Amino acid sequence: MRFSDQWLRDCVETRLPPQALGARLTEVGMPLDSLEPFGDDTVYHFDVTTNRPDCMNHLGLGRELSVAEGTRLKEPSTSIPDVSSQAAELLASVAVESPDLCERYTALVIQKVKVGASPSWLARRLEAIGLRPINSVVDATNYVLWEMGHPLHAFDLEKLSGRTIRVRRAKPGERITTLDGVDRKLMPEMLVIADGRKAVAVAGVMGGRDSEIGAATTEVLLESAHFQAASVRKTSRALGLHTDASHRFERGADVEMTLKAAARCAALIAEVTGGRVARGVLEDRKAPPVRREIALRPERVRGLLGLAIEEQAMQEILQRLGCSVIRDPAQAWRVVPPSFRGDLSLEEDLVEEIARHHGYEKIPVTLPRVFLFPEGRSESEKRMDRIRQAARHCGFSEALNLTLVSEAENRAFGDTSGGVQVLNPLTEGEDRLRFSLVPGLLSNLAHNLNHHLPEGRLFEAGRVFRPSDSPSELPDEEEKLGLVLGGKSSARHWGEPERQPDFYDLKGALDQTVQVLGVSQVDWKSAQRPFLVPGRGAEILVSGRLLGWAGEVAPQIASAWDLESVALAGEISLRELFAVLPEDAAFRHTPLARTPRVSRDLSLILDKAHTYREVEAAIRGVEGIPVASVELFDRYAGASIPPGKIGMSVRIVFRSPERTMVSEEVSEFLDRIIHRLRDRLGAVLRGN
Amino acid sequence: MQDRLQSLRERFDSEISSAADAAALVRIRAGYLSRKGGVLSQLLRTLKEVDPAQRPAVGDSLNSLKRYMEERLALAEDSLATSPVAQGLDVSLPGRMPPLGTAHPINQVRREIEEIFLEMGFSLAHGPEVETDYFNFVALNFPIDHPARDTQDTFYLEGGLLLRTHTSPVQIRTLKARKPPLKIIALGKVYRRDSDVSHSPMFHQVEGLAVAEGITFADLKGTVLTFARRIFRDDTQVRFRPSYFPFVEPGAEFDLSCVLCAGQGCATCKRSGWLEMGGAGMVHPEVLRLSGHDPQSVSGFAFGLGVDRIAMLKFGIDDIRLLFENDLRFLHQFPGS
Ligand SMILES: [Zn+2]
Repeated sequence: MRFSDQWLRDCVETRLPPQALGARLTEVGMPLDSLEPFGDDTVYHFDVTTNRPDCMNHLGLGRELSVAEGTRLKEPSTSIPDVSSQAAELLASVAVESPDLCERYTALVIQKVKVGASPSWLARRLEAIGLRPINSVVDATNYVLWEMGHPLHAFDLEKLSGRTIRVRRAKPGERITTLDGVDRKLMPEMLVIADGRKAVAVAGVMGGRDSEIGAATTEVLLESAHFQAASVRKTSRALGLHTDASHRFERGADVEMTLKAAARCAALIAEVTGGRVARGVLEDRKAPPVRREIALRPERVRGLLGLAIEEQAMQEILQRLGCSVIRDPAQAWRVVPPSFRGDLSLEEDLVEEIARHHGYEKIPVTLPRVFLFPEGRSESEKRMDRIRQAARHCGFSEALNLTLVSEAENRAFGDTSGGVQVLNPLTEGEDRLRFSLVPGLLSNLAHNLNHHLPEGRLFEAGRVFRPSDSPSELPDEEEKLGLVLGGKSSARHWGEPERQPDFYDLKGALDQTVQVLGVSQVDWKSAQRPFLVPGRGAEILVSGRLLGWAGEVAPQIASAWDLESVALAGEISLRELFAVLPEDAAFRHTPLARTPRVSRDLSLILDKAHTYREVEAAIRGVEGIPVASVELFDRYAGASIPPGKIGMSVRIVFRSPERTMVSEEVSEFLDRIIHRLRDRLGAVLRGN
Repeated sequence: MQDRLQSLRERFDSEISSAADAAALVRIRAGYLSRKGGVLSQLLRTLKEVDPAQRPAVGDSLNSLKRYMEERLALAEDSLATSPVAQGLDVSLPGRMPPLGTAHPINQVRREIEEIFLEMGFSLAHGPEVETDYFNFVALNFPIDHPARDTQDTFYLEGGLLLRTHTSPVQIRTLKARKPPLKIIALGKVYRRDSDVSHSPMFHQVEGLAVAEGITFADLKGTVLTFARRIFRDDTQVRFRPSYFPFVEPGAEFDLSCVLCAGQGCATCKRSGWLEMGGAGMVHPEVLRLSGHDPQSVSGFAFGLGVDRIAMLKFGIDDIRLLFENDLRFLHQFPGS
């Protein structure tokens, strides 16, 4: 909000140069954003907070400075000079028909005005704060708005039908052309200023074109009213019309200010137009509100701030701010804030006033004297950390993506629900909450591969969203882990051959990441997904529970994501994973076997249709044999293998926990295993 | 016996002269001299079975052979160690580095922030990113149709839901679920409908809340100062200025002495020496009341600040968009975790 240095100095005595003046006001809660020269003046930009409409003008801001600096505030005269003998009540009338939305309506009449350009001092002031001078009457109302903070409106009295003002709600279907030339439809809940026939202004927002002040105007009805904040806000938003007036009314105007501002403005209009102010005030008001009395306990001030401050200092600050203070040594103080401080209603509000002007920097620095049992990280937080660490140890770098995505991205990765929709997105491509982490990760992968990196490995652990059954219920937010990798054929080391990343790179990483949390057995089952290459996708299960999927990204997806080389992706639910972890996920020591191990290799040939999983299950399934481990160490096809068959070489390690095995019994174990492999899978030993 | 020792010596000589590398020398040493399986060690152990009359002479021969072998091995090992590179390794060739992923800078900073507050006795709290109007606004003393809502640039969803504009709803969820005394921080994603190039519609905030008997504004200052000094440098200064947030009273904003120029003035702090960091204040009595606590018996402070901004300052990142682009060349610049 713009303020003129010269204007401010008209309102308050101060010797501070502009920069220091800005710094001082910043210290009391009126932060200076910047300042710049404007001719021989200086223009300040202050960020006045929404709770302080009283400071959105030069006098109000000056008051803060006068309290802070202990200097005098120079309030303008609010008496009406040089009154004509004409009685205002014979010239016009005002009536408030909706007193719930208009607490007070005050008007003065100024006659014999000659509307023209404003004098240069007035025009300069308005220009300094970024307003365009219009004519001497309108400029006078704007001047008083920016001087005292109260919005005013001037009507051409001769254009008001019946020379009357009715403050009422709009009629069904009623319309008005506002000063900006726009024809607007009014809603019945909107408050309007009407004359005897029709709406002539939208109350507290903008006047109407039909009654605007022009060169031919000779009689002015000057409105100075108090409109209800919420009503002005609703109307202003519904019309999409934000004005200096609505900005102040919706933050709360001062009901006691209407007459003072009107008098000040009428005097100014008389001065700049040569007009005469008619005798008497036109006014319709509700009974003045009861003075809000706030109980203040000095102990509470000290207790809340942790500051030893004298009672005298508290009282002085409050009084300089315009509060009346009744100190009662036996009870709480009784403090009545000034009418322009609608933001002060609680004891804590007064605590802030005292702290603000005493200086936040004078409050000591301590730590809470609260002793709590330290809770540390929860089990699930630790698991999240370990999952991330495990993924990093597999060579995956952590990405963080926007949770706002397009519907197409969600749909491509299996969202059939339409997703959680944002009603007012910034762009169309960001109007859904993500259903999967993979679309974002694939975009990251494409970005990296297209920036000349041969290979990329990325993961993200974060939330995905699914709509709940009812739209007013919170959607389901689920933590997931997504991994992607891909790239061209490349060698990781000068001593090794080039290789393209493949499914088993991803599988190994996912297995290892999950195993870090104590899951010993992860089951992979071949499965289809529309976004994966058929026959190259899998479902991941632990203890029969589906955790997620992984596989090679389908070509149509890859090309839609600008990927030029093979990409692999997988996603698992961390909620499902954490649910299958044992209650007590602590790792426990198992005694190490001290007996020797005996290992035997088998080279099998079997139908291609059979999986390694079946081979291992057959081996482990032979009863009464102490198999310590089964490990696939080769898998091959080619000239030496009949078509439709596949070769697998496994190493089986036997170990009895109790004793050393003799070679005869190991041979017997192996025979039984070979037998079973033949029976179950039709496997034969290579070379037999 | 002596013949046997002689042939052993000859075999040793031939093996050692044909040994090409360190691995071969290790094998030879193990084969002859290892305490368990070495040939010579085994012979020494059988000495007690030798005819007592011959025992001293055989013992001498064995020991001298052992000394001989040790000397030759030592010589061979020495000469290998000083031989030209051609015979050894080019140790300047790149090693096989296992691929190592990095943690995202925001998550690195998240961990660091959490650690600092955990050490100060705070607990970690969480809440949903999609919130109700009640938790995001009403319970935080933002009445319906209040102008303070204008500053929040809210994304709305169907059913009156919204994307939380701050982590403050977690304050309410915590206050409704727990009894004071409590000290929590809540860190997570928040959303503002902000199209500015220096803003991202999604960013991260950390919220602190302490509610107990006798909590003061001075405690707030101390907590924020301690945090600022731990996360940045231990001479960091904190400046509190009065400000307005509906859910605190008295309310404040706080600035840190610029962590880049130590308050001397630079481009990042716009020559002011100060960096705007966040908002804070004493929990508004209405907020306590709405969540079931008596503001006359407990008081509290709350503060909030931007995690992304801390990450940018700590790592010298000048463009927030880099944080969400996930360029590996960028991510790999932060190998810490
Ligand atoms: Zn600086």
